[in-house]
Amino acid sequence: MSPTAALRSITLRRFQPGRTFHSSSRAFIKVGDKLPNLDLVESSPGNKVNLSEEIKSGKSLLIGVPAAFSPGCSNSHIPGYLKHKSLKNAGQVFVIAVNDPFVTKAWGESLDPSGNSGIRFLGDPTAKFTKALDLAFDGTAIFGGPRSKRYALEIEDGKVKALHVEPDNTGIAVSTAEKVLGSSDKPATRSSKRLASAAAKEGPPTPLTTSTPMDSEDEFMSGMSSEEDDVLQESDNDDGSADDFGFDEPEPELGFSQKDAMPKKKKTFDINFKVYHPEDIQAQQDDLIDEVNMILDIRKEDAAILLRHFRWNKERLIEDYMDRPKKVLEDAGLGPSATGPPKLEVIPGFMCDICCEDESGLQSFAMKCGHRYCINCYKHYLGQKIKEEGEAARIQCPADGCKRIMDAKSLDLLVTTDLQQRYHELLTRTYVEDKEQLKWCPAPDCENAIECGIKKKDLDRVVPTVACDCKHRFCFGCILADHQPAPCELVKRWLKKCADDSETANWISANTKECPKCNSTIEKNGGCNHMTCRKCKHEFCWMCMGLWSEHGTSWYNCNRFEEKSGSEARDAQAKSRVSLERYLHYYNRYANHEQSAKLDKDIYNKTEKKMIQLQSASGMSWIEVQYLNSASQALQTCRQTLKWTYAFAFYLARNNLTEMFEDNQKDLEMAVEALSEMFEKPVTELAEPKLKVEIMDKTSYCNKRRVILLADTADNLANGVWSWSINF
Amino acid sequence: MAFATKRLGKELAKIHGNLPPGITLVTAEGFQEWLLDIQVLDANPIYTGKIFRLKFKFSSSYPIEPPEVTFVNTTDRPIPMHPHIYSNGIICLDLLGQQGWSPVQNVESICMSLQSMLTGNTKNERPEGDAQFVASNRRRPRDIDFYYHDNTV
Ligand SMILES: [Zn+2]
Ligand SMILES: [Zn+2]
Ligand SMILES: [Zn+2]
Ligand SMILES: [Zn+2]
Ligand SMILES: [Zn+2]
Ligand SMILES: [Zn+2]
Repeated sequence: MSPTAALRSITLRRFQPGRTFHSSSRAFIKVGDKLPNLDLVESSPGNKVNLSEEIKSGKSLLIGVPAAFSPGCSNSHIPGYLKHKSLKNAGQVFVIAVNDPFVTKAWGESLDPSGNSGIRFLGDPTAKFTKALDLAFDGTAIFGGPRSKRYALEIEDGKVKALHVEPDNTGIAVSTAEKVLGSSDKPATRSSKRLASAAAKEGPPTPLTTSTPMDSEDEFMSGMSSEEDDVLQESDNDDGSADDFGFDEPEPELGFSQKDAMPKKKKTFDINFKVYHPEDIQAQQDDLIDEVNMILDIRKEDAAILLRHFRWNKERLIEDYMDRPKKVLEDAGLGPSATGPPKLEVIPGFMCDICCEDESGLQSFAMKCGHRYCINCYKHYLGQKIKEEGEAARIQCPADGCKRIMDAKSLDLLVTTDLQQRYHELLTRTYVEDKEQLKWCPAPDCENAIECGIKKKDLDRVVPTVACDCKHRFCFGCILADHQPAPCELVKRWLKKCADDSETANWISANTKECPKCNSTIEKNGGCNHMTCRKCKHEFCWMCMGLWSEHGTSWYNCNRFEEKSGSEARDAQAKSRVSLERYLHYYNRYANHEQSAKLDKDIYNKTEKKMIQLQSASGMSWIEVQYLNSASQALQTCRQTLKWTYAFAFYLARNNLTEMFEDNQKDLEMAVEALSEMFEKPVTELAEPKLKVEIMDKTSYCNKRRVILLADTADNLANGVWSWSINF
Repeated sequence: MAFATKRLGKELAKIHGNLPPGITLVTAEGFQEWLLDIQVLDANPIYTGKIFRLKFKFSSSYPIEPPEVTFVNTTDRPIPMHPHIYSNGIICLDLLGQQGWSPVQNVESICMSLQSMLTGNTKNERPEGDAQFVASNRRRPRDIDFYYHDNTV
């Protein structure tokens, strides 16, 4: 047995649940003890750091934390040290977490991007160092393994000078920077900067952005598999210290905290945008109106009409008004009112040209153009324009060809109060509609607007997904639901093609299929592609109907359409069949993800119900079941992305980049299917800590794969290096 | 209905025996659907000797809303050839759309507009994509967003 293996077996025995005393005779590390002669790792598994060697002389400080990215560690504990004015007097400072080196590195970079503090972040992946200090505690139930107590060790010349160990393992009391380094005049404040990006606002936790070079898939996987952020936030500690653990600050929204504190590197697919609520939209208009009111010295109501007339282009309005004030006022329907305010009149001998009514005493109205109609016709006309056609700022005179615009004052005279109200609502809407960089959120009942600087001409280079505060994610370019990574024009083409070919395509997207072995009809009832026939137990892939056993390691053949061989292609008939098959290949996968996303949602709704039952039966907390929500959201978001990768791939002409795209697609697809399968397990299994940790890891991994795919695709799109099979 | 009825009643009274040449009233029973025939009077080879039948459908909001106007095909009434008239009789004309309509327009003025639209036409052809449009369209003309790209024809 290798030394490492021996250590690991000790570890396992030692942390078996139910043990009441430590099998080791070693006591808690005390003042005067030397540091254990064991390796820690920094940045990558090969980069070992031996502290007993490294800090033989001089002052140093070791800070132990339960896990990287835990809210308690990220929000106050470590930042407290980072900001402490006496940090530089503490000597060499190390933060040690029971995590692998990729995670600790990424965490260090998130807390101290510049690295100015000099604090080094070390990983103790197997907890052997922590255990040698006897500062580990059993976190198996929640974290799937041992964890470090939160502590600070002051070291001088290689020996412990003072130790500050949290009595309840994970609290933040005795090991804070204030307690260890003395009180600071710069209190630790939470540094949280909210980034208005689609990635930051989506449901699933946003994958951390790290510049860690990925040497191989395995290293990447290992970097992800022990990600603890979700674990820490969504789990209770079974040793009773739940309240002190990670919830030291109230978290209104679970699963979002560490992200806020993390500086993010801007990704190409992250679009800058702002969400405006109705009151913001009103305030912006009021500001502009006030400004014009002051500069031009005109009444606010008139300023509003002028601004709407100029489609809220303040500069042009002011310029034009300075040049020819009379004409500007006249054009906007604000000409000199010699006749006073608009009023209804009774004119003898008048006949209305709309209703042909000519009875005496008929009230009529005319704007400055002189086109006069009766009040009834005006009411009808304006009602039609406002209610049926949703017009407001540009309602023209009813006369044929007359361009005179109905002003708010005349309108108020002519219509009932409810119409006036609707009219003014619509006027407010024109503000958003008139501005190219503003768009309404298309979600039903949502009244927010989004501001984004993306122009129409940018749309072949960027897919501007924005996320409203109502959680709806949509494309700022075309208002359709999020369709990253596919550009708008491709989406338009694809949807049109699907609509045109729907008859052909429908059969394949249908919800039932026959078992390839026994031919009994199978209905797909979950989001996963791994189908097991209830009758004959045959396991197959829903997408390609192939044996599932062949998919475990080579999903590859299922995400890529293998171009047909040349012999077949020679036949013209086969050619057209190939082209249809090719389309169906991509359409099938596109439709499959769309369908699966719906099914995954159903399953979550069902599972949520069961988890509620389980909560009351077992006494588990609501927080403990939230990991399923994160998983469900990740499945939805990733499937939305996957769905569009197939439309994207359909139009993609092969070049040296295609393979990387397909690999990314394959990785994400595999991860999503794996998560989807776990997600479908019965409730009793879902409640098991092991599966729970697996699901949380897989959720986090899925989100990361999605970010990688989107980032790569968006970069290539921005650089114009994709080649397409058609001209967009 | 009162609103449309009153106006249509007045229009009908004015129309009876007093329509411009080339326009004749076929039926005006009730105030929901009228039929009128139009002819091109000038010597336009495309339309020589032909009579075309127009169907007017009025909503209760007429004339605030435009009427729905289409050519109808009967044994002796073909659909006129025109780059803005589909072979199913649907007409692409801005004055019949919500944007171009004015409540001051009426049945007579619409007939005259269509008459002159035919008179001035020199292209013996259907709009682009006629076959596809006719095959696939299930909407009523008022719900179609025509793109009035070319008002010279
Ligand atoms: Zn009237
Ligand atoms: Zn007018
Ligand atoms: Zn919204
Ligand atoms: Zn789009
Ligand atoms: Zn079977
Ligand atoms: Zn397959």
